[in-house]
Amino acid sequence: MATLELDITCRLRAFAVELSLAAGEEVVALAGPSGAGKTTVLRCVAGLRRPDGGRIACGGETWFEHGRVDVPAERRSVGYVPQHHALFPHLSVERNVAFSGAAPAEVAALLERLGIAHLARELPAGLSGGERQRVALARALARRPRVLLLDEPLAALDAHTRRLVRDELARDLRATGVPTLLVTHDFADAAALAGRVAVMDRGLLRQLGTPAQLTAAPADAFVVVFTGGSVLAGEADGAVVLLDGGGIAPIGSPERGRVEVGVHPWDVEARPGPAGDGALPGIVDVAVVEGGRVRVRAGRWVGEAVSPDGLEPGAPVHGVIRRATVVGRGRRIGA
Amino acid sequence: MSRALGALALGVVVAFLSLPVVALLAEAPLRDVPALLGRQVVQDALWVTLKTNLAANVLILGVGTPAAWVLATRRFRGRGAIMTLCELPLVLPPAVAGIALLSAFGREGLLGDPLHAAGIDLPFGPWAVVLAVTFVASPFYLRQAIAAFEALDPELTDVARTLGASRTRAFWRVALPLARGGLVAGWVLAFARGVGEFGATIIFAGNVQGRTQTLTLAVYQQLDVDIDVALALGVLLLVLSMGILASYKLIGAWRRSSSTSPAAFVPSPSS
Repeated sequence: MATLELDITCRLRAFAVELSLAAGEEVVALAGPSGAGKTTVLRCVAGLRRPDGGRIACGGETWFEHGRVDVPAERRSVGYVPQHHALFPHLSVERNVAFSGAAPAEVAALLERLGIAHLARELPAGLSGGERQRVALARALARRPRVLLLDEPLAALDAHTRRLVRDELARDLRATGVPTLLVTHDFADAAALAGRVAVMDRGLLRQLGTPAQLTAAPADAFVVVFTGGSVLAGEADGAVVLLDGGGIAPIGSPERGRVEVGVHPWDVEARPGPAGDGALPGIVDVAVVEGGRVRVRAGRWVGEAVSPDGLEPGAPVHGVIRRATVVGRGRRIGA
Repeated sequence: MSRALGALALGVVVAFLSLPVVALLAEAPLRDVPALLGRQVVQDALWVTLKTNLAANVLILGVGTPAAWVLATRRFRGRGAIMTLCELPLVLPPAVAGIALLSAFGREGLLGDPLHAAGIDLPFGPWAVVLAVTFVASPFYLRQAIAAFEALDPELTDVARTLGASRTRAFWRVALPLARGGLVAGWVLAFARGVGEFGATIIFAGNVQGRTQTLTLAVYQQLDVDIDVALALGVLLLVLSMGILASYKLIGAWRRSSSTSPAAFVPSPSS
């Protein structure tokens, strides 16, 4: 089984990227805010940037070992799709895909499979964002890569196209059976496209796990916020936390003392009206209908409601926390 | 500023620039021009100009293109200094370029002895013309070529490499075709400057008919011999220059219309 293993250090201007990761026949997302060093990791794997230390290997073949091995980019057999796709503007779709030397029949089969056969003779300038992306993917796959690298595959698309393309891309990536690393700044995209997500911040891996693991058991406050949750401080008293400013959060295992808890919107039921016992108090900042639910932001917390009735901006609201995770402990929390 | 003043200034500009051209055409015995251009001195000058410029352009394109690629795509210490050095011939008086070339490659010059020992005598021969033309014309090509290469999205050559192309192949198959318009435009300017070369050539290469006498040098010499030949040469060079200018403009228009912009989106700095 083809496996990508990397363990690299790469010094950037403000910080160093340090990442250790192994990917089998799966899609792993490198997710994190812009400037976290995610693209740097892809470029190191592709051979377009030399890491300052460590090792990169794929399928038992060493591509990079500090001071000893550095296989040039053209001999690594990676399928690299950079952020804006970088289609060759002077070549037709067909010739873009055939650039790596793939046989015409193979090119035709790929175009067919990705649903872009009718664009074979078009120049990239005439394509839509979604079409460009499929051409870039076809071109990368024509290389018969042992690793696929995708940098922000959905960034160049508008919000509407994005959801459509995302579902198709998720299906295409599952079908390739090639270890895939993809970079995204959006947790929802990462969760939709990848089996596992590596959350990165300032060059460091914060947590690696399935999207469900990341939301159910976030490693720290950063992961909570990145996955769309809120971080609240309070005093733990056994199986509950008495939150600063009101509200009670049930936690899995008993704790004592100052703690920070992470709560996700789907674990907070937002109800109209002032807070009663044990609920989070708040005033509605904004309530948006999202995927059949109403997402309510009220100052420091976000919850969900079934109906937008009574949740107009400025209205009092309270949130009932069903479940929270402790992500930090210490006397100075909330001080 | 008043409109009238602006219109007046514009009129002066147009008159000043077009008057000499009109005058040249008026003074030249246009009907005799074909016959005058058949003279041996003109034929010799044409031939010298053709072969020296051909050699100079081969040097400029052959060495200048890879040099421009390195300057456009790599960042290294001294790059700024080299870029400035490349532009020096633009501001250097051609006569100074001539005497400088003589100081370097002349019999008494810096490299005179080793060159002579190797049996190479550059000054006052056709190769001196080639060097003079190369020296003064190369910046026109280099500047445009560097700009054309700098405008390319580096992701394009990066992707080409991940697709199995070596650096050289990525250059030939991606960078060169995409920079083509800019390179041709730069080459046209360098060619025009080279054909018009006078000062550096007359000092470094002399003015020997059939050996180093180019079209411009022949104009100068024929002033004292036969003014009609000088005028006929003037008409020939005027037509040539207009052709070059027109093709430069056409290339510009073609580059804008068939603009193969590297990406529809502004490439973002890699994180």
